Parts: sequence; C-alpha cells; structure tokens
Amino acid sequence: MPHLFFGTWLDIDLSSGQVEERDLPDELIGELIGGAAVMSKLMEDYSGECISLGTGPLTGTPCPGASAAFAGVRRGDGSTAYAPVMLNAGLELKLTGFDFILIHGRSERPVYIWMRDQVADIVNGSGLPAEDSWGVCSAIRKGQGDPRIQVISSSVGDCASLNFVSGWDGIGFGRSMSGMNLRGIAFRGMGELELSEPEDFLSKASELMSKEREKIGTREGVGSLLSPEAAARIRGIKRNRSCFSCPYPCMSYFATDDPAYERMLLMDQRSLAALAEMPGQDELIIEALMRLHRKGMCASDKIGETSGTIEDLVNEPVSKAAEEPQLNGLDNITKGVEPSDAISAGFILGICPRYLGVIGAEMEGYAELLSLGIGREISSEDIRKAAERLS
Amino acid sequence: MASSIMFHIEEERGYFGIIVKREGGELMLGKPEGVEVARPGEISGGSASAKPITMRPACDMCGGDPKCVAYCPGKALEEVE
Repeated sequence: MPHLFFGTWLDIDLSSGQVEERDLPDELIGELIGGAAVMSKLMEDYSGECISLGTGPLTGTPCPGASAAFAGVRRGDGSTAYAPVMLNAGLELKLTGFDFILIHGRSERPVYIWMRDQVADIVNGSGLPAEDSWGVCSAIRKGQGDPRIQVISSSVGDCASLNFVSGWDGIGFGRSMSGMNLRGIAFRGMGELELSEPEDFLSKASELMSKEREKIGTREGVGSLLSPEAAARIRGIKRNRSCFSCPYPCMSYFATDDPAYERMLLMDQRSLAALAEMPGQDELIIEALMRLHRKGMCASDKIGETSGTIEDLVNEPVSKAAEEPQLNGLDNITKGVEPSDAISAGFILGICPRYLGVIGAEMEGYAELLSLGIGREISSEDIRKAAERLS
Repeated sequence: MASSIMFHIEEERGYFGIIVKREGGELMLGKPEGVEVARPGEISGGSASAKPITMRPACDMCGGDPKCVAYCPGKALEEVE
C-alpha cells in the first residue's frame, strides 16, 4: 500500500447491483500520482459512459488548500471532465478507505451509494425526493443517523449538490447521476492514513501555511470574488468560512427565509455574478439561488437562459435543460480564473483549483511536501507530467 | 496535535471547540463561552466518535514551538503564558 492512499478502489455496477473492491496498483500511483489522472485511467479502461470520484495524495492532509476530492464524468464519445468537491468531502471520502470510485450502469429503481469504514453498499433510494437535492441529503442523514455524513445528490437539473452546497458542478455530474437513477452518493470517513515522514511533513505544511496566510491578507467571503458592484447587491451575509485545511475563507453563509434551512452556504461565485447582473430585487437573490440549487441548477449560463428577472427565477417553473452541458475539462469553479499548469497540478494532488487560481502557490513547495508524505522524491516536473494526461 | 480533539454540540449551531490534554492530566477546553480547565471525569456528555481525550498523550507544547499554532489555517490558536 503506498503512503497517503489505502490502495483500494471501488468498481460499482448499478445495472447488476455489484460492488467490487479492487487493488490499486502501486505502479499506477507511481506514474500518475493520484487525483483526476488516476480517475481518467480508470474511466478510460472501463471505456463506456461512467462517473468517478477520487482524491489526490495531499487531500485531507494539513497542506494549504488540500480539501479537494474530484468528481469525473466520461461520456460515450470518450470526452471527460472533472470538478472539485470541496468543504470536508475530500477528507471524508479519502478516509472511507476507498481511494477511487468508478460508477457505471443504470439501476432499475432509485438508489444511493453508502460508503464508510471500507464498506460500500447500494441502498434503496425510492423514498428520496427526486426534485430536491438538499432533501436527499437531509433524508440520507436522517436515515443513517449521522448529520456528519457527506452527501453528493442529484435533482432535476445538471448540477449535483454536496450536502446543502451547490455551484461546484459545472460538468453535469448531477445529470449523469440522474441518468443512472442514482439519487445520492453518501460517505463518512473514519479511517487513518500513513505518512512516510509525519513530523517533517507537518513542519513543512506549517511553513507553507504560514506563507499562504500572508498572501491572503484581508480577503474573505464570496464577495471577495465578485466585483464591488455585484458584491453590493448580495444581502444577508452572516459569516465566512473556508474548507478543510484552507486559510482562505472564500465562502459565506447567508440568511434565508426558509425555516428548514435558516442559512445557506454559498461558494457559487459564478451564479452570484450572473444574478447580480440581472434586473430585479436584491433581496430575492439568495431566495432565487436557493431554489435553483435545490433543483440542480446553478451554472451562470443556465440562469441566463431561463429567465429575465430575479423575480422570474423565484416564481417560474424550472425544468431540466434539453441539451447535455458541454464538458469543459477541468472546472475551476470560479469565473475569471483561467486554466493554468498549477490548477492542473491541483487536480492531481487534491488542492482546490479556486485557491490555486486566486491565491496561487509554488509547486516546488507542494512537491516537497508530497515527497515527505509519500516517501519518495517527486518533483514539480513529475506532477506536471502526470497532469498532461488531463489536457 | 495528538493531545487534542475537536468537539461540537449538535443542538447548538456553530458550537465548536477544542480540548487539549495538558501535562499533569488536566484538560483545557477552548469553548465559545471562554476557556475552562477541568480534571478528567468533570466533563460530561459528548459522543464516542473520537479517541477519548484521556487516552491521548499530554501536550508537551512540541518542545516550545507548538505545531498546532504554526499550522492553524485560520490563526484561531495562539500561544499564551
């Protein structure tokens, strides 16, 4: 078993209901390092339409910004795309004991996948709501009796939600889940991972964290990713927060009028930027976005298609788009952030692409940290080469 | 960092804190209400989802340079006398 991984991946066939645990070859990690590069290989080997989840070697470690798991989609024509799954999902997914999950086929009835403690099951999901991704999360957490379970859920739209947070899925992962009759992917991680040099790893991580905090300065909240004019239209902010092991609190909690969800955590800068350009009442922006998110709609281009005013978004019926969303390679979840080698490397290592795109980072530091964790010398050039698979 | 655990109360939104086992066995609780020092057994409640704090090694401040303070992403921790 390589350090920083458990050495197993799951092959889930929803058509047959089979869940197979497979060994992750050391050579695969040796060559591709991890993250979306390994997911790409697993999906390529399957060759048909499928989705996947996975983590990078640094996901869930004390490395700055190392909170990302990744969701991947492969279409029948072989095109692929990847999006980061943030908050605590990377850590929790990694500590389930499964490094990567490949999902294919279609279940005859609605189901959800439940992973924890190196156990994975396909569970009957007939009772889960079909048009409310947040409701899916609430129902699974209640049914399994643990409010800390992480739930990726689908709804009528293209975009999946993580727990009660949407806006990160610009690749149609939610649409693919719906097509498989897969209402949710739930997981809870309680395992422990081995590091090669734990003391040196923590010292290096702390050194990097200290440098990164200085770079961030006073930036905080989703408003820090918007123009001043757009930020001024977003009302009801309560406080800001970051994902696991991230010094940049780029998300914000907003008050809502819904007693079932008194606060809404927003990382969806793209939709907020689009809404802030629409005519209508500022006070309705959060309500409109909440409604769209629960229906699985969050991308800014979708909002532009469906309505003319913010009031319309609150009142008009919303429906699934007829066309599949265009796959866009590596979704960095942030309008204004351009693709870069550093972001591609983040999709290998488990580092948030927004963090890398907005704050920036020195790859040499991450390579040094990875070498300490995994127990062999890995250079930034090695990481760049592994990331070439994603271009 | 093995001498500490995070805790929170489900029923109270946003209620998080940290317990550190100090040398001598006493427990220091950093809570939203403030800092409290207690002996093992004086703290009630909590779930068993983490290794019990009393079974953990005591904090030796990493020899004078606490790693948790150096690492803390949000600078929520600081070293005081």
